[in-house]
Amino acid sequence: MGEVEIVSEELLRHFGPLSYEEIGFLLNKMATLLDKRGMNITIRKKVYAAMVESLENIYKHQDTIADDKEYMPKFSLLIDSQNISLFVSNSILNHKVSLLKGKLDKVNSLDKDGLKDLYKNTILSGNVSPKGGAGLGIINIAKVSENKVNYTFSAINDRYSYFTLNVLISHNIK
Amino acid sequence: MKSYSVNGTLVSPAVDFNIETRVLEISGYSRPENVRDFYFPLIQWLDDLNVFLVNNRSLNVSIEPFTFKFKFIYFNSSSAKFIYDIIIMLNNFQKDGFPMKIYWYYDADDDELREAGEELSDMANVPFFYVESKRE
Repeated sequence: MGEVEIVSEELLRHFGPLSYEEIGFLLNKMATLLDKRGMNITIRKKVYAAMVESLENIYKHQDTIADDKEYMPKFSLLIDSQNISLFVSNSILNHKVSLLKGKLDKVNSLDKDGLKDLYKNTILSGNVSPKGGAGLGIINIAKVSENKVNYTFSAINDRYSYFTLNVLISHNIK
Repeated sequence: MKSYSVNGTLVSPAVDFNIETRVLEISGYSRPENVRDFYFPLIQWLDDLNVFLVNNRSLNVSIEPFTFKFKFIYFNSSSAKFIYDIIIMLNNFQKDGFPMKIYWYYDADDDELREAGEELSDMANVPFFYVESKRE
């Protein structure tokens, strides 16, 4: 009994410090690449939204490790016959891990209506910092993805972990 | 009271608040690098307009309505809170007796943008008129 092999192709990759301009560059590249593959505007806008929220999250909230070349921000965009997949990684201080994990588990426990309510309540609560914060970005990612948001935290040392977020956007919905 | 306008870019929306025509419009992409710096002057302008109208109210003259047009292509989560604050301010115009019609434009292919408008309208308890548009 052979397993079905899912062949995925990497469309975009970035490794290293991430500037605001580079986010724009990656978004433009993505739009062109997905357009060439005949992806409709709905899919392109979903990927655009997921990329903005996850890359801006790195840009605004990453905890940079001094003199490190290994755990810098990483982004890749992959496509297979069913899904477009984003992998976004950055270093984070260990003491922030449980709060972020809590937010991710919360969005993963909710269905579409639950996510809508959480989004509304988060804005209405007024606990949104000028940077966004309060997890609105993560809620947005879960809303556009319509899949569970996968994540890992790998310990780097006693101070930092490497956080990877994986967002799936189905493009082959029958 | 002067009109207020800002040219749009790929990351920040165009703003055209025209005091003469009473049409206030915001359009395009909203993911500015510093969202507070972008939205604060808009909120300040709307606040000034409200004070101006209250101070110049003539009880014998019928008040011509204002029209506010949201024509976003995309806005990020950091912008959402500020857009919500603007909608609350627009509702305050109504409460002060200055009619304000709010139009929410969305692309025919973009159900999520329409839904985002419905959510904001629902949250702020302010009715919107929805306009489906087809981009070139």
